[in-house]
Amino acid sequence: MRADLIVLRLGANRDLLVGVQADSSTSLATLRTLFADWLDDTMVDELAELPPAFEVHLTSAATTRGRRTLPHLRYGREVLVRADHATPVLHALASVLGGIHERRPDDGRAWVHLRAFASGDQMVLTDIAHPHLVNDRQLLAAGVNEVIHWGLVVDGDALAVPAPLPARWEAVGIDPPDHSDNVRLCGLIAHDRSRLSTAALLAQLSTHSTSSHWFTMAADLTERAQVHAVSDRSGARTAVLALLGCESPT
Amino acid sequence: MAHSSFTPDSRPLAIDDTETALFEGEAVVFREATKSIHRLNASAAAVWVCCDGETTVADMIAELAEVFATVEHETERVVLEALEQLADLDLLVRPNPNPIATVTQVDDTASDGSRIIGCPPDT
Repeated sequence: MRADLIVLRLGANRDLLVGVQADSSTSLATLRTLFADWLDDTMVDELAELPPAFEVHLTSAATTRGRRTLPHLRYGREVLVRADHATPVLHALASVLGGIHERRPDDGRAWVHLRAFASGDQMVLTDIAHPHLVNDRQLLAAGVNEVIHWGLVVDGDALAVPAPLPARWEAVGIDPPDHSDNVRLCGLIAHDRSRLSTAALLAQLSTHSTSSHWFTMAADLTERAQVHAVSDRSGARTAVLALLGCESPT
Repeated sequence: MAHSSFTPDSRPLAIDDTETALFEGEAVVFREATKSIHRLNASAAAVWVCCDGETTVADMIAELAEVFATVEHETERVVLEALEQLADLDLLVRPNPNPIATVTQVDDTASDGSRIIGCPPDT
């Protein structure tokens, strides 16, 4: 059996398989303990033939030129979260797995796939791609966290955030992640390097969901001038803070 | 009238399952059936708004020539182009609508039939 991979069996019908690769035997042991209720070791050899969906790096390691790699969670080539210690990485993994577990094909709900930044029960969504704003120090200092997810659900005027996958947090000595079921969407941020028109920005943001509810929500925010266009990371950061009503840290 | 599938007496009708947002003269149209988004420029948006099944093409041309302060033969060209574009996008009711092409994404499947959540393709 492959020594660095766990396979989780998720979904209401337990018919979804997710491979998670760990960066060390210690990390693997942590993952196995944390997600013990979801493991399917019988499928490890089969999934080992495919690239894993997620890679978890829980240890900080020295690299060349005196730099260190920080704990992080990777989905393919994208780093979803990077942190000074393992806990936020594990929380993010649980959040993503929770979304995979909850989501059903054709469940009739309006799922939207944009990056989410939250402060309290308020959230903004943006299509600015990774690695921009990953582990952004200024946002963190202002009390803004990126909510790592596998899709958010449009729920009336709010967004529903799927719960993290239930896990054995006590067994690994970590507090479970905080979770807000519903958050208020305060605005949208479009990554725009070509000075698109308002209609074009709406079209761009609308493509991140196949639901008319999302289109209506995005159009409503656009009408209320709560859609900001930004061309770079700095602009995105400023827009996140402005839309969430947070003060920029000095 | 230039060669077109629309005649002066045609009364183009927008299909039902759409949501439209108008900003600064442009339109963004969401179509429920195909989960598609279409962005229309100012002239196409103006034509789209007129596709109510009652307004004739001739009326559209006259009205939009006044709105855009253009001569009628130029407006005719713009209106007909917009209508053909809307028809090509299947946004107008047709007597014999084209079948909607669908793309089916096939997930990896395990030997027991379970769906495998895979690694995203490189972009």
